[in-house]
Amino acid sequence: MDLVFAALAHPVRRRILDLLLESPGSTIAGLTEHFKMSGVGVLKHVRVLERAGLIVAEKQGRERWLYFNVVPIQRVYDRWTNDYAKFWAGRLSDLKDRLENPPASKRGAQSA
Amino acid sequence: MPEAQATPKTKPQSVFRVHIKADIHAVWREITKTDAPIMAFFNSRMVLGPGGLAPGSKLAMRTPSGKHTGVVGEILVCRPPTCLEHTFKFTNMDDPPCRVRYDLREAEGGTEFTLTILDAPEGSKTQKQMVQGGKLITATLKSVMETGKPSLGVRMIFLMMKLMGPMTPKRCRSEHWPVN
Repeated sequence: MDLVFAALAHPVRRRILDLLLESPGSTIAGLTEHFKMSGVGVLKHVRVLERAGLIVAEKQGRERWLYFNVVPIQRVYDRWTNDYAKFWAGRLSDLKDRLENPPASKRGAQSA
Repeated sequence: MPEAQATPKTKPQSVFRVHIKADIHAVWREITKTDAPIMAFFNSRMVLGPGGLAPGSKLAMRTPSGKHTGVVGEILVCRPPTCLEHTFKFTNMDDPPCRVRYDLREAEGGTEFTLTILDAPEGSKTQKQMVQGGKLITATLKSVMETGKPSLGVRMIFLMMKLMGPMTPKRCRSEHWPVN
């Protein structure tokens, strides 16, 4: 998951994912048209995204069709959605306990 | 005899890939089993025609009760445990069938699973649903193989689908979609 966050931390790589979402199956040459950098520069960013699993390449002859693989982001979403759900369930349970059984000793600490 | 290669290469529309910490044969069994609902496929039960997984055989994805059928198709390629490809048509839509291909490869002590969507009519409801479903299928397969259950979000989807069951269109009733 570190690789996913590191890959998403760069604006050029996020832009590449946007472009692949708009035009699945783009090539390096096609992506390069959208940037003021060389194909080699774009390729380096694509490699980072591939290592993170965010881009999948399908070889076709000498071309590589590139696709945004959204599964790693879905995994991130699932992980934190579940944890937040547990978090809020725990908070609500605590709130119920506090409201129904207010501890006199903590009243002075409410503003903390 | 299953085909030796996947059908000729056309440009895929979407590709979803994940690494699963599970044996390739176990993953293959999970996506082809017919004796229990497949949680990764929205808890559908796969029903196959008399030809089983052989190319040309029909398949249907039915609700666990068997009453409704959400998807029908025909097997195009079957190379256990590395490739399964079939046509894919939502029974509640008028769009023509698209194709889905599942590629499995042993990698890093587990299995690299790739779901590829091809030939969905551009801008169609089918295409939209396939892209939405593809990521959930892939992520859920990983969860199921590694933890034995889908994520909480996907379990909520199962619950919603069960609650929505009575509102399923009549055209989706399984008697309209035989596999024989």
